[in-house]
Amino acid sequence: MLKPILTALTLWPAALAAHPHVFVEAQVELVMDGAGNLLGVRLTWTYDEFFSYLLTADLGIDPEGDLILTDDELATLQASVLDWPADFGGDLTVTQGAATLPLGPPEQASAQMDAGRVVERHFRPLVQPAAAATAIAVQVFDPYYYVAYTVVGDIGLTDGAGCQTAYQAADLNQAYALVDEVLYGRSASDVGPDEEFPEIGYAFADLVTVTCGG
Amino acid sequence: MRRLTTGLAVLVLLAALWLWAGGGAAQVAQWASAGQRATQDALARALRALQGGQTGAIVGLLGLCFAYGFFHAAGPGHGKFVIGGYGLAARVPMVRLIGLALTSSLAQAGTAIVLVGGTLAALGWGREQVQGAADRWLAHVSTAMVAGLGLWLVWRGLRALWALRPAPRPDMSLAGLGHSLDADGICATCGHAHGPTPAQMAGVTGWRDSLWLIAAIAARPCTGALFLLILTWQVGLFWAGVLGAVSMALGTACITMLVAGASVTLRESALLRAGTGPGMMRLMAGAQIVGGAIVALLAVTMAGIAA
Repeated sequence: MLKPILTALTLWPAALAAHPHVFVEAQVELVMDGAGNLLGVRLTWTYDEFFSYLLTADLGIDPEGDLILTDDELATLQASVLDWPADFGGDLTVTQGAATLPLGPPEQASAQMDAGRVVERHFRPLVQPAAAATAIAVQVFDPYYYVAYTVVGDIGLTDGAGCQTAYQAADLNQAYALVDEVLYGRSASDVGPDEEFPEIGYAFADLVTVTCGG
Repeated sequence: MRRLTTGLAVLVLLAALWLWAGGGAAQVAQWASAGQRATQDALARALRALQGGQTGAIVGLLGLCFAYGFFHAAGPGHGKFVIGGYGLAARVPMVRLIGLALTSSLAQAGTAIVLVGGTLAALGWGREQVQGAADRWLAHVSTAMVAGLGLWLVWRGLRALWALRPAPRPDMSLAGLGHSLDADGICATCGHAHGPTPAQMAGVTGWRDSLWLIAAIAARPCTGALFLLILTWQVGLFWAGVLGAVSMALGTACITMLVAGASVTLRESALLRAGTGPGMMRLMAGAQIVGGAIVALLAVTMAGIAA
C-alpha cells in the first residue's frame, strides 16, 4: 500500500476528501491445498483513477498523460507501491469463529498501471494453514476507513474441491448509522484528513467466506 | 408576497429538519461519497487529457470545477453560513446580499490564485508548504474575522434594543416627579423618536460591513481550489487551475446566493408577521443578536474542527 505517498492525499481538502479518501476495488482469491485447508488469500487491488493520477503526479511519471509508462517509470511506480510502511497491516483480516488467523508478509507482489489505474497484486499466506470445516471469513478493509475497499468480481477459489465460497456485501445503511453514532452526529465529511478517525472500517467491509466438506 | 415568503420559509425549515433529524444526513453521506469519487475520477481524466495536449478537455474541467464548487458549497461550508447568518441578522437588501455572495466567492478564488501562484513562483515552495501555510494561518485569520463580525452584529443588536427601551426624558431627574408617563413608560408629549426606523437600521449595513464580510470569507480560500492550483502547477497546467478556481467560485456562488436569498426571505417573512411598531423593532434587534451569536459560535466551532 501507499501510505508514504498518501501525504499527497492529506492535502486534498477535507470537504471533498471526506472519509474515505481512497477507493479500491478488491478481487479476492482463496487458495486451498486441495484437502479442505486454506493456505492464504491472493488479492488484487485496483486503485481509483484520481488516486492513481495523484500518485503519478507526485512521482513525476507519465508527464505526457498517455498512460504509457517507460521501464524506468514502471520501476519507480513499483518501488513506491510495494514498499509497505512498517505499521501497515495489509488491510486483510481472516477469522474463524472468534479466532483471528495470523497472516505472513505479502509474497509475489507486483504493481502496474492499467488504463489509468494502479493495480497492486500480492499473496498473503496464513502462518498456519487452517481447516475450513467450519467457515473461514475473509474481509478486506482499512480499520480507519481511510481507504474504502469493495470486493468485486467472482470470488476465486484455487484447489478448492469440495469447498464453497459465499459473498455478502456490507450493509452501508447500518455502517453510516454507526458512523453517525460514533461521531455524535458529526458528518464523516467534517472529519479532516489529519484527524484520528474512529475505527469503524469493519462496518464497511464486505464479507467473503469459505467452507469445505459437510 | 406574504404567502410566497412564508411558503419559502417553511420549505427551508423542512429541508433543515430532514437533514438533521430525519436521517437525511446519512443518505446524503452515501450519495456524497459516490459523487465525490465520480468527480475525482473525472478530474483525473480531464487533467490527463490536458497533459496529452487535448486542449478541448478544458471545457470538461471547468464544468467539473463548477459542479464541485456547487456541491461542495451545498455541504457544510464556511462562506454560506457567514452569508446566511449575516442575512438573518442584518436587514440587508436581498440584491445587495446576493451581490456580496458572488463577490466574496470570487474574492475567495482570487486569494487562492494569488497565494498559490505567488508562493510557488516567488519562494519556490512545495505543495505541502503552501497548504500548510493556508491551514495554519489563513484559517485562523478568517476565523477571527468571522467571530468579529458575529460579535459586531450582537453589539449592534444590543444597542438597538437599548435605544428601544422605555426611557424617561433626560430632564426627568432634574424636574423631580413633575412629569407623568403612561402605562408603557412612554412620554406622551415629548414626541421624539425612541429608536431608529427600519430604514435607518438597514442603512447601517453599509459598505464597511460589506468589505469586512468579503474579506472574512476571502481570507479562507477554498481548499479545493488550493489543491487544484497546486496540482496543476505541479504538472505544468497552472493556467487550467486558475480557470478552474474561478469556475469553482461561480459554482459556490450559486449556493451562497441561494442561501442569501433564503435568509433574507426568512427574515422578511418573520418581520411581515410581526407587523410594524415597537414589537417589530425589538424583533429585528433580537434577530440581529441571535444571528450574530450564531455567526460568532460558528467561527469558534470551525476553529475547533480545524484544530
